[in-house]
Amino acid sequence: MIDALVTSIVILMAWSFLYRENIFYRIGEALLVGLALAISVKVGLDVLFNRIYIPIVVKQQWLSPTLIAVALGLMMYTRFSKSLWWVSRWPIALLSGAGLGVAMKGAVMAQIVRQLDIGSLFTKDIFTGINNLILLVTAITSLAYFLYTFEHKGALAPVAKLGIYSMMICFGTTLGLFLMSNIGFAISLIPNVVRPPGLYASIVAIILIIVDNLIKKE
Amino acid sequence: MDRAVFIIFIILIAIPAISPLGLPISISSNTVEVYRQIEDLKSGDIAMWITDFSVGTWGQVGPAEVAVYRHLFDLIRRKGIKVIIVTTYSVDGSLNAERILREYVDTKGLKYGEDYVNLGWIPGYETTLMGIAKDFQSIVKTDAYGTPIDKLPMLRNVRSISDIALIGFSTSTSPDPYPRQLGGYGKPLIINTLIATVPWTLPYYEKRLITGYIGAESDAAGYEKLTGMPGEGLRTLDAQTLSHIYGVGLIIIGNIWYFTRRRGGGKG
Repeated sequence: MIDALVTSIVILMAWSFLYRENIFYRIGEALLVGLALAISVKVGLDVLFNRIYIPIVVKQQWLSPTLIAVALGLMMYTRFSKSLWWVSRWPIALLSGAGLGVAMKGAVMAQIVRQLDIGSLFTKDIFTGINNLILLVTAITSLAYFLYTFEHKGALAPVAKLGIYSMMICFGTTLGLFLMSNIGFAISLIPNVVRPPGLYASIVAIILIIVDNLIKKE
Repeated sequence: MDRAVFIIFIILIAIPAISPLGLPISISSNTVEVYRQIEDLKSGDIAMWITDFSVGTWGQVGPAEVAVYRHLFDLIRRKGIKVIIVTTYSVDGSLNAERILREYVDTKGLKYGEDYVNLGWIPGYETTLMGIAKDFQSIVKTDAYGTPIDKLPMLRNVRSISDIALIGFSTSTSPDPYPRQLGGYGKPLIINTLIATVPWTLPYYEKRLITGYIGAESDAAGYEKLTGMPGEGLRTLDAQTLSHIYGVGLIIIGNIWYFTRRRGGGKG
């Protein structure tokens, strides 16, 4: 009961920005940032405790590779020292290098080699063939648009134009789906504010808006 | 005018929240595919679910995540599968996993460590994913509560991805790292994500690097219907349907208005 009421009050505090900037919105905003930070720090400390403190200090596994990670992690904090800040470059370099290496290793197969295989245009299922043809045409024409070494004249002009249309369809779809996602977020929260106990908080919010409007008119 | 558009929208999505309309739903083929892959797990199989979506996207990803968790935990009872839950992206995911386990899933009668295990947040994201695939025991040292994995019987023989029968993940950002690190091993790899991320997922799905996808409330509702366990997906689907009809209506009316005004000599 209390959980549901607090949830609906916080939702209304956030949505009150749609009416205008106000103290409830600012409290909600501060609450969100503060709570998110507190939770992140708490879980982060839990992870440090379970994965570093227990093995190294409690179990005294001093020669564990975890110790290297701890040392690199601590080196990050030298960034706050004017004379030692350069030390922090080493863990950052290692982190970027390892991250890039891991990503690239997987990317070659998943994002390059396998994606080059468009598939046959003549399949049993006619729609798969059409789909593959669309894929082929849109991929080539979109790439043609980015050929900046040639002026988009002659045969290249309509090809590049088709590439623009392909990309516009893609961007439009993405934008539309993002809007759908955002509508989905609102829809998932609505039950909290139209059913008791959230409904009572909504009624209070509506009264506050009416009062505020009356005061402004006066 | 703008305010009227939004007020009508809020009223439309509030109506089914107060009194469900029971509009018909169709189950998409991709939802059935995901359901089949999970349902086909056999006794003793280990399923790993990576809960990586952020708290703020619960409305879109949460309902399907709950539906899949319920299905997996139902399979523990019905078929004796084992479930590993883990988070690799950010703290949020582990909070979502904890919430689902605490509020939505019935774990009564199941043995923690033998039937299911929650590994919590293992920082590292893509490097962690690679570690899980290649050398599970070197990456995973303890579960979410600090228990060493050698004290969790179901994890003793898990050495790499080859010991896991099915992998699923939920994300509200890029799906790229998962097929990069976990795809191509011949294991089912399922994604639960935002509807906006689905087009991003499809190139991997087409190449079977991702073997199934569910996105947003409509798929969540379909999944709930397939498992026979109704939840948030079915409850919010009426509102979703009404909002889409309203959106399509607005686009049509807006365009008719625009072209009528242009023909009449206006600016459009």
